[in-house]
Amino acid sequence: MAGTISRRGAIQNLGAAAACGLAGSTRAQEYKPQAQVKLSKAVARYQDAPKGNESCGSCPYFVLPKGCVTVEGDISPTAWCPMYTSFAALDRGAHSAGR
Amino acid sequence: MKSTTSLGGVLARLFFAGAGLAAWPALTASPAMAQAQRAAALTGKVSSLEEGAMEGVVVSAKRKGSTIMVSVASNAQGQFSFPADRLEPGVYDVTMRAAGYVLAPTTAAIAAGGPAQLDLKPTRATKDQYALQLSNAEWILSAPGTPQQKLSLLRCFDCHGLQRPIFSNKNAQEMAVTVQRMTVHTANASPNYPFFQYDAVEKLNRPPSKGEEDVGAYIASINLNGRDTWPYPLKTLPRPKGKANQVIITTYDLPDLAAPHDTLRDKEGNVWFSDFQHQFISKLDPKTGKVTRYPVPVSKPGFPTGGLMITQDKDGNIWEGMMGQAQIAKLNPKTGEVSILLAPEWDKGDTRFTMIDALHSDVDGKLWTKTNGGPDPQHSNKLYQVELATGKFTEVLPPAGKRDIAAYGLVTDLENNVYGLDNNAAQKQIWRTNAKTGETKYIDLPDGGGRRGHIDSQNRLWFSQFYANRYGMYDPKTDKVTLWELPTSYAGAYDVQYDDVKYVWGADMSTDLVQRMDLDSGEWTSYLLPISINTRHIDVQKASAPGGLSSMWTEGQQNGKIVHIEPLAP
Ligand code: SF4
Repeated sequence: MAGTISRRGAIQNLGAAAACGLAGSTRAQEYKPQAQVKLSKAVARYQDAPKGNESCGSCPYFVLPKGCVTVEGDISPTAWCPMYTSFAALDRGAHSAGR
Repeated sequence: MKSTTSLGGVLARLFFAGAGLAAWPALTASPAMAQAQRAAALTGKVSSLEEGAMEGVVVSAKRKGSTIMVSVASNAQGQFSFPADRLEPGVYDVTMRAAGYVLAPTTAAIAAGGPAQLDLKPTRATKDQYALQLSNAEWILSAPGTPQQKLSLLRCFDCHGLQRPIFSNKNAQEMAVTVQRMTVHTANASPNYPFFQYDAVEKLNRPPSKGEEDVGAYIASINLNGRDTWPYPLKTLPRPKGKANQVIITTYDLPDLAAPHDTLRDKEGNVWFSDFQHQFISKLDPKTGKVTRYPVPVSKPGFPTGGLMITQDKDGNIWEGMMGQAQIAKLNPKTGEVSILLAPEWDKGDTRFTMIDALHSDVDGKLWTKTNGGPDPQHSNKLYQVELATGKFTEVLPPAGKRDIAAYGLVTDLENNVYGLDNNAAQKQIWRTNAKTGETKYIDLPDGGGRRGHIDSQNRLWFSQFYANRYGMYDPKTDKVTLWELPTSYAGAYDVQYDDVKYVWGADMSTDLVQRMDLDSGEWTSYLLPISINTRHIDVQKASAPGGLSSMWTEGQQNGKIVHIEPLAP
């Protein structure tokens, strides 16, 4: 999709997000990201198998090698949950293509 | 992602879409562009094979490497002009916004001493590009559904654009699960920061409710579930006409995933903003685009970071309600010192701040704030006065036998009484609590509650009605409420402010339009923003001299922008 950031870029940026906002700040090094609440695999409806051509390995929330931003525990790149999205996480829904 | 559409179907309908949409303001064509009266840095004409000269195209110029983009709009002859005092010599990327059209990558070299000339010839957008150009409001207007179903979509763009649900291929059951999950994200969650409420796992341990199933089924009926294209024509609003094109819009990029929620401009011209997801009080210098961030320490590890409402007291201190951290943060801009006050029940459950108003704290030395959440589900909305000298919180209780004083927006008046705006479609009241007596008065509305607002110099409350699609004004002298319907349906009205002379300004979450209403004539002027940004709070910059025009600051909450809209015509 034009105007969005690639999955690889999004993954890197999710990592970067944890250390966000440092440029231009005073005493910014004091800022520490928060460890966030994650969902259990059960309530996330995580499944070990992919769903069609959708799998954790192509989801922007997947964190190499076996983690996820939103679901706790070990995550397989060939698994899936309903939070799967093909939108880059950094695309916060503000449309940008063609404009 | 499936994002294909039937090309013939989409484009054939594209150019006739406006006629079927909600009423668009009738705008008076202006004989000449005000921009033409100023020395120009860059001028040109926008035209296409399909339309010839194109009016209402927003043309933007951004110098390579800069964080500041300047935009103007084309007049009835397709002409546009950038004032020389807004574009320094250099090489600029030139882009444009006109639904249904795209522009090939274009640059302009601007030299000192004379305007550069650049004619733009946009071509028709492809089917995919066009689908990506629709604003949230345009998706809601395009999709079939009852008013109730369409209103349910308004909550989506609290956190993200409608592209996400509308481009998804989830069926009704899957979408019900997604809708259910949305209820356990925090109010400041975003796709990039998908914060969950602390008890999300517990709350999700049930099947979706009937209401969640209904919304899920509705979304599955208008998304790409089991099909390659949307089963309805995609419509866009007509481009602006006349004086709506007499405007300069400046868009500032913010660094590092900043998520501005509220902006305010101080007397020195700095623009302060809260960051919905990060522990900062932030400042933009509009002259340079430089952003300075003042870190706020974390008090509740594991709970979401970020702030919502930002205000300035009469001594110049900046105050921000840090939501999930249950803090009120105060910055002394002269020293850079940040201090925090914790809510009385800050360490209990998900006690959190949203609104905090210190604007009139000089009256009695107190600010107003409220918390949500906390240990008692029967009393989860708590209103407080806070003594600034001591940091002491005093809860102000609702009248005996009345429900909690629920509110989204808090607005203090000139006597430091506080209004509460409950953002609830069925809500038929707003309320005001007296600062001295603690007495609360309820003010009746037909429906629609309120979201955010401002007090004017006559002590009148201006407020938005997000669900009812109106701006409202309450005059305590006459005890009368006046309501104005917005010119675009499902606009997601978020905030409104009067300039104390003539114009009422407002911003909507879904239209990418900024509204200015002439209070004398009732005429609306709807300025199209250069990009989709999801505006929230606004701050009107009053005219600097008698007879001058007010302008407005707002923010792109979901893409890290601050925007200044300056009209060139009354
Ligand atoms: S599909 Fe679900 S579990 Fe897998 S990476 Fe994406 S959000 Fe995590």
